[in-house]
Amino acid sequence: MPIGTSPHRAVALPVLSIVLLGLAATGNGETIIFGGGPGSRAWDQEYSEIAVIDFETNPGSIQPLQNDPEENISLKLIERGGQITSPNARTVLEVTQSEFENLLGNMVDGRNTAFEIKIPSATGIILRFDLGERFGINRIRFFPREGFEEFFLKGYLMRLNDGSEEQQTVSGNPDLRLFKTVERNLDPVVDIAVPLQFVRFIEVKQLVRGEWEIDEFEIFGEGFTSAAAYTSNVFDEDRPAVFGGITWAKETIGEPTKVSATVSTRSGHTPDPSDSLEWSGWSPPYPAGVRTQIASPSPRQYWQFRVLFQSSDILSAATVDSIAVEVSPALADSVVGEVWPQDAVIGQATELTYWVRSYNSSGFDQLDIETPAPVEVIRSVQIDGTDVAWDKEDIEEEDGDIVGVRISFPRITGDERLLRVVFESIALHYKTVFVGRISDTQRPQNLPQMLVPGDVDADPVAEGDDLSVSTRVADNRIHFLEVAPAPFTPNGDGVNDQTIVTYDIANLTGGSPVSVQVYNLAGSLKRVIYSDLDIGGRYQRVWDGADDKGQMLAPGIYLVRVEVAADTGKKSKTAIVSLVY
Amino acid sequence: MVTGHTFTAVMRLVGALAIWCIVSAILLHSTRSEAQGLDRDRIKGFRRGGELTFEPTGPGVLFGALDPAVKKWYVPQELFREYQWKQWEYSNYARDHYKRYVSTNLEGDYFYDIYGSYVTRGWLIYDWSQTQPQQGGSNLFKTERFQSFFSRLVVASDQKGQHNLAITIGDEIRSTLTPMTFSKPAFDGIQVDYQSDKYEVTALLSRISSPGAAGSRSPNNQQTSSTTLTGRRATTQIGDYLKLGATHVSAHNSSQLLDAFEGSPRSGSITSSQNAENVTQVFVRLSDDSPEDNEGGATLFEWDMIIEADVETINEAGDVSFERKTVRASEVGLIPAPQGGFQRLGFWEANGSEQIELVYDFSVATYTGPDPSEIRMVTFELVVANDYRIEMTSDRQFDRQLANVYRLAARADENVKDGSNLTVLKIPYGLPTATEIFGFTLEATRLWGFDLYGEWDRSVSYRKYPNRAHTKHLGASDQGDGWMLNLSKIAHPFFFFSEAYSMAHNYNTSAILARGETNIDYSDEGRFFYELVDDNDDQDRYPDWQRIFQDIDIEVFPGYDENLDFISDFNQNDSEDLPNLVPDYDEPFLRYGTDRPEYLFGLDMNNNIWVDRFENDDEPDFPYPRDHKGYNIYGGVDLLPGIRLTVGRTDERLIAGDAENTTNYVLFTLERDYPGLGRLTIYENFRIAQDNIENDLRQWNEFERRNVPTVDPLAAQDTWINSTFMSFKYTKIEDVNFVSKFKYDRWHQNERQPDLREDYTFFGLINKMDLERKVAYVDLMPRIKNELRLEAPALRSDPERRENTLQLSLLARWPLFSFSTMQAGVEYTIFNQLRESETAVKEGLLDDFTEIVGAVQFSNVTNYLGYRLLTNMGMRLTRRSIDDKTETGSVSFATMYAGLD
Repeated sequence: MPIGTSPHRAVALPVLSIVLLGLAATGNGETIIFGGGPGSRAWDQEYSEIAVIDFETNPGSIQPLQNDPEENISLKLIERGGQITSPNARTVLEVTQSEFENLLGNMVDGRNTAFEIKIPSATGIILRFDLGERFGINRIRFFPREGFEEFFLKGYLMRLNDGSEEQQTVSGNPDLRLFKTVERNLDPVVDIAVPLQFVRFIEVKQLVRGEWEIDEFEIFGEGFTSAAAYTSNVFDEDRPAVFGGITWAKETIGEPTKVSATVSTRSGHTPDPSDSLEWSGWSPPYPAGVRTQIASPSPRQYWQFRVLFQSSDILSAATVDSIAVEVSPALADSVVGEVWPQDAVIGQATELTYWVRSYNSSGFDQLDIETPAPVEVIRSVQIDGTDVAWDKEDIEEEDGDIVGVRISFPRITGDERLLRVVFESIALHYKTVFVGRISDTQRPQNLPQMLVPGDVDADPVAEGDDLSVSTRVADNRIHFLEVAPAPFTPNGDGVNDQTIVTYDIANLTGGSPVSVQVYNLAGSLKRVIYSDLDIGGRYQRVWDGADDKGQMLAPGIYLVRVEVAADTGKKSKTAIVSLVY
Repeated sequence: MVTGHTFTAVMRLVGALAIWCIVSAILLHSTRSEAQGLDRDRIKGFRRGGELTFEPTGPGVLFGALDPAVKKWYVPQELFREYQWKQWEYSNYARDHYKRYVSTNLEGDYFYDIYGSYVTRGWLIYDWSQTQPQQGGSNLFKTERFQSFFSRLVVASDQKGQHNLAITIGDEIRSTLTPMTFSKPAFDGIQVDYQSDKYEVTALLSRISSPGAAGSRSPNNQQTSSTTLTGRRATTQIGDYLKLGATHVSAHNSSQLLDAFEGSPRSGSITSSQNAENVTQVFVRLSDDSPEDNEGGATLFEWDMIIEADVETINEAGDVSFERKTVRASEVGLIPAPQGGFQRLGFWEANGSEQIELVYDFSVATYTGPDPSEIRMVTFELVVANDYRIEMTSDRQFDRQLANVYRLAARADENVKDGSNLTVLKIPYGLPTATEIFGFTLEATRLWGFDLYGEWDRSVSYRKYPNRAHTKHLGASDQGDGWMLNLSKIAHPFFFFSEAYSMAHNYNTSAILARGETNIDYSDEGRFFYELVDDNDDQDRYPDWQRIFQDIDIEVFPGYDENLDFISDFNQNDSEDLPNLVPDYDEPFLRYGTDRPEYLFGLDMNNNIWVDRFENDDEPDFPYPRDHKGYNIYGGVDLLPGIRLTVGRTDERLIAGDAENTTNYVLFTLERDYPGLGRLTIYENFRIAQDNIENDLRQWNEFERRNVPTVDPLAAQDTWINSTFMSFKYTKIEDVNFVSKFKYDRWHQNERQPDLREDYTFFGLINKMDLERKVAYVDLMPRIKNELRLEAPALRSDPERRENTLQLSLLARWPLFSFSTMQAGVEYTIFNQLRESETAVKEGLLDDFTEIVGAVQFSNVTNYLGYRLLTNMGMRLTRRSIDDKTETGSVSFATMYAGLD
């Protein structure tokens, strides 16, 4: 059974597509789906550039090209960007460079033309083949033309290189390894079985003096190419657009740990993505299987995505079934944000002024600000210098963590409108970014539009032109720990039946194991309230007075210990809480 | 009025003058006597003409030669006594035959010391002088006689009582201060050694940028910019048990254009080629220090550059002065946008192969800071986190093609991914000027029964910021520490050994050479790097890597050359004049005596499947590799003579990475002779290992005849390993040799590894027997050897092998005449893949074959012109059958050797 058509996989892909569509449906705006099945855009219609991509083996999905064991890989060697060279043959043949290249090309053209060395005294001629990519190779075959069988290589040496960094010399050239030496060859058709392995460079050296030629140099293999790429067309949204989430899923053929597929996006103001001034760079790869906010800047009229495949195992490959991208028209041509002050004491509540200037806005009435801790205090909201009525609500994630505040205000439309919000918050990272998004409740189908950091030209004091607040670089992982109410009385009367452990974790950009544990005064562990990965932020964990078995603990004083096991070491902080009945 | 006090003073003065006159007269007399004696000796008691001296006194006037005659004076005034005033000459050689002119070169030259004193008549051998300030002021000259008279090695020595002194000058001195500071198999320079009962001192000196080849004087002898090596080590014995030592080595660049004492012998100087242009662009590159995991790479939060400059100011009076100013690049319009990497919220990130580059270009229009000609130093201020690797370069740090060459500036400790190592780095930029190492050693012998050796060293790599307008430059340095401690005790039958060590990743023993006015190619290790500690894994006279002014060792196979003939013992019949490309274990007739290397037993402490004593790497020969810290400890007992049991544990980890090696091991060894029966050997090594440290090698390949990169398959990440070896050599029957060898390796993976088999196994069994019998005039030697190999290699991609090889051979030799013999031999080989069915043989493996080899050889030994002339003539026929194909090959030969044995 050919690789990639297992029954298991045949069932998995449609299921995957359904899941993908389901995930995509959770966003807003228009969802554009590539691949996956009927109704979506076809992979083979939407690319601007591909490298060894296979559209056909699994219709509706893309994967690295799989070698056909019967197909001569060398026929497309030049087309693929590979090349054939020789360090010494041209001098012997005394031909021009272009003639020489044509001669070399005769070996991979599939026609009855040959690379000929018809100089009896010549010896030591070296031919080097760069396949342009790493291929799983299991057979190499070369021979003279029909009718010229006597002009075969009477002795040769073959060396191979897999094209990896491990097989490079210090100067970066391929370090070719001896594969076979035949000092006395009697067979006009040289047919060499190669243990299946990645090969990119092949070198053949003539060992025996005499006239010879090679009609075709054939290379056969199986498995997948080690790298492949798919770059989409540039999509034109007709007017500046904002991006929502991107959702895609990966399937694996063979060994999952040996393959990878990454999806990235970029956006721009012009149709030409090579214009680096008008286009962003490629975004970080988006994780597979979950809806992730697109990181490319918006609003932009043009956008593009790219899929890169890698495999370190010949018989393994990743496949991408479909990609869903959420796009909608922008709420304004541009929305610039700025925060002040830009320095704060870590973990300490600071009054922040947040400006938003919108240009040519079609209307918005909500501002979401991401904050490391719940926002308790909003001092004022002004539009163009006038206090307005406002409302606020916490933005809560699915796991209950509060990640910001949503402020509603009268609808803002038109050009150069200034929104000013004064609120209190804390900074828990060296650079805490107060990301802002505007949205319009009257047009829920439109995606929120992210603020671009910059100078809103509202207050000459505010010079930072940024949405981040910096703190001092400190090695203080757990900045704050509070257990309240304390004492608490878990007697079921509805008053102070549970206590809340609030802690701030500072300067962690990646998830680190965090545990919240309760000990008695004898040092015995009684309850693990929480144990999972946390990044920097303010967290609240609830304790109901029970131990790990669900039994209520005896009245007394207990120690609540929060521990962060960061990569640089463990840090902990302890607070006391009284349990009273 | 003359007071009594004044009189006394005058008398003292007169007395002192009188004494001075007497002493001077005595000294003058003795000097003259000595000088005259010298002259007498020199011209054998006969002095022609005037005063003859070789002291640098200049010409004088000879009293007797002052003759007021008009005739032209052609004769040296010193010769007037012989020639009187005769100016006419007639040469007649009838009685006294003419003698050819004598080359004055054969008499040598006259040499003088720095005081002008005559030193000797003879030939210059070696001369090295440093003159400052002077173009080409570094002058090192080895004459042809240094090579022809002394074969590039001269030793001056002295000794008095317990004090010994030696001054060695040579091109290839095997020189070691300590293995962590200075160790070279072929040091080219001067070594001065002093030794007494309690003290030892060594000083090293060399112009390593151009140590000079012996020959005639050339422009290369004189250099304006050069690199000088100084090294010194002193030890002192304290009491009966302790020995303390201190070491200092410095390789620093110097410019002879500077005034004396202007440069620094520690931090070095910017050379004239480094200072040819001002820096106008500086680049910083951040990347992932552990790219293989593709996550948690360099994270960049903020970046800025601090510029120190001497800014020219002119006051109202027109006086020019320079004022040191410090500005931030961000304040003067230089805020580069990161190129590459990914932008996250509040920071930039580079994972895997991604790189973030910052370009500080002083020529951009927005820049309003000091002119590049005023800048004395730039320091990068970077707020970074996670597993960063930071490199820097400038438009003055390039290679031969003028492409920028980045040099490592900082690396994160461990492989942090959660941002918890957030830090502010301040890294000054500069061009490398010197490498310095200093350290201390402590050695104890039999101290409470323990032997101890401890060493701590610090390497300091200096760099300075160039500026054409200045000769003094501001700089900075990086430090890396390394230390080791070995402690052992033998209390028979018990023994104990422990070692602890730590070698920083940036512990540096490389220096960059300033080779005259040539632009330094910072990427070219072969031409511009000098190693204080060489890579010489096979411990021969040649370092294993290519460095300028020293020969490279093309063939490195540590442990494979036990007879020290520089030829692999697995291809013993290979030689430069008669190359042999076939390893002995594959060559007809030789394959009986040579077994494959896979059948050797050895210890593999770093779990990379290679026996440690055969390993060849590309690193300096430090006792412990860089970026490693950890310990190894073992103890054991000699159970019986020749029977030993050892138990130990290794625990080591990377300092800048997160890989580690924890291995617990047991080693049992038995070697016993059974008189009249034979010799039994048993080795058993069992290990439980968790090792994900990569120990890549460059191992010798007999087929390619070169060292090829060999990747550690990381086959012991969670593994138990067993290695058993047994051999028995049976000697009971005279003239019969029977050897049986057995080796069994098994590496069992406790957890599934994608690339690895669950069990890597090697089962090898060799049985061989030979017999030597004389029948009539014929010596007969029948031999039989069977080799069984069952192997499931560690990597799944390598095919399993189940092979058996049976060899039967018969050699016969009979005499012809007195010193001639005939020899005939036949060898029959049956090779089988042990398959369960007649399926095709897996790719990459040999197919079944049978082979018969026949050879006949005529040999003659003759003594001829002092040599033992050995002549071999004959031929060999080989016929190999694979399936229905048969190949026949032949070799005929007539060879003659001039033997010394």
